Amino acid sequence: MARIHGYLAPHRTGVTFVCLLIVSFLLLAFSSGRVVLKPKEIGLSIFSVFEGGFTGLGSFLSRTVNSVGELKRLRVQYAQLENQISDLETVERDVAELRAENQLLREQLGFAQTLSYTHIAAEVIGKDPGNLFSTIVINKGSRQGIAKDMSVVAYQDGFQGLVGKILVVSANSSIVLPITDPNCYVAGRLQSSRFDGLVSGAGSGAGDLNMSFVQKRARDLIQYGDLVITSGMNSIYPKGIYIGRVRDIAAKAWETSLELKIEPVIDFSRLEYVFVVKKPADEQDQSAGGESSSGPATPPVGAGD
Amino acid sequence: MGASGFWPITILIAVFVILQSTILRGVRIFGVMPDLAFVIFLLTSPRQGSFRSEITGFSTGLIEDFLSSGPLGFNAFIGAVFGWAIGSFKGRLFLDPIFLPILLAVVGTFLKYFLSFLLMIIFVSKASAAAVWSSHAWIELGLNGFFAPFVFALLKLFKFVRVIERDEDFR
Repeated sequence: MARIHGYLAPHRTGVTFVCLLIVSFLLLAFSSGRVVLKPKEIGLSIFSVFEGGFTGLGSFLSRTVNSVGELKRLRVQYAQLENQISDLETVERDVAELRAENQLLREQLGFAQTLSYTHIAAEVIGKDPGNLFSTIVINKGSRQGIAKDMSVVAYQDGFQGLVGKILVVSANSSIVLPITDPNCYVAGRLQSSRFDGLVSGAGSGAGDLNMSFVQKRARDLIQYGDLVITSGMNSIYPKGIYIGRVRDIAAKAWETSLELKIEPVIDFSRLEYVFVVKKPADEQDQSAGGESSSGPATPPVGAGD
Repeated sequence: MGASGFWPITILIAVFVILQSTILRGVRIFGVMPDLAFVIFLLTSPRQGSFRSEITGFSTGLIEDFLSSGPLGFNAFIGAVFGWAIGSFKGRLFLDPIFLPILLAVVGTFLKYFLSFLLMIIFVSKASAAAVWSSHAWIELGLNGFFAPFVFALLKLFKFVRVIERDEDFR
């Protein structure tokens, strides 16, 4: 024992470094090799609590800064009624904020009522800490009925747009893989010309999408701005959800198919609420035969929310 | 700075990792967020040494992995490698307030992307690996370099880093 300690003490940096590398490699192998052990879910459960806290803190700070600015303005204009007006303005601000929030939630509720699929509403509480991966963290998890590979949609500017799919689920939070990620594949269809293709993240950093394998004879029928929807073919994604608009068409002479640049209908930078969609049982059966996405199809579980 | 510097620095970097996934997501320049947690880690590593830095890098990288769609161990591996490598310059790397922080941030960010590229080929997918060298990488490289002197100045205020005298006793 003393000999081992005598050897380790002067080499602790190297020994620790090698141990950390081995642990990293084992974690990488476990997480990419789909081994049953789920440390990522456990970690997500713990640290998403901090994310929720920081999001709340951010809103609190933002509101505080706004109210300080508002109070200063009121002091100049209404010196004698400073306190009263300050209170009234605070109330008014809260009411305006509540109205805006109410309007947004009504809009989301209206959309929720039009959704033909059973769904779970969730709030975005965090995004990827770095720029290498594109991740969205939502505040609902397995306890609320969310399962891996469920599709995620949102309502923005009158469109129900596809956001992505559930990648990791913990008890009260989940990670969403957005369609802008190069590893996310969606079976898409041009709404007007009805040609099919495969949509994936362009990985350009601009958040664009690529639609490949579109038949070349579709060239004359495709217009800039044409909408692309989910085709529902062999996919975990429900049929008919908007993906994006055609922004560019590449038709190279030596290639057998067209490559389209698609701009997503969803602006991911201002995404606040999403809906996690459970597909009906009959569609699950249809999609069980094949999978266009990066991972294996896991049928959504649980009854309606 | 003795052992007391290890925990404050590790906690500071961990807090910045979580801030970058929430409040700081809004601070984007050309659509890219500077990786301030990584810059803090780079600037504090030469003073901490290999042993402490590799543990700091591994643990804060693991937190980043929990909140990311990347495979678990991805950022932990990068953190451990950078901690060991940059920490090995303890007593030999003398940071000035401007030039070396910029150089360290720029070279460090480039090597981080290069290491990410290699890990993505092995553990993620070639599509993701190809996407690593998008415009985002180069913008982040520039932003990290730009913010490095400011981060250095702030860290210096809290005595997490300081310009080291050559005759100082390094343990």
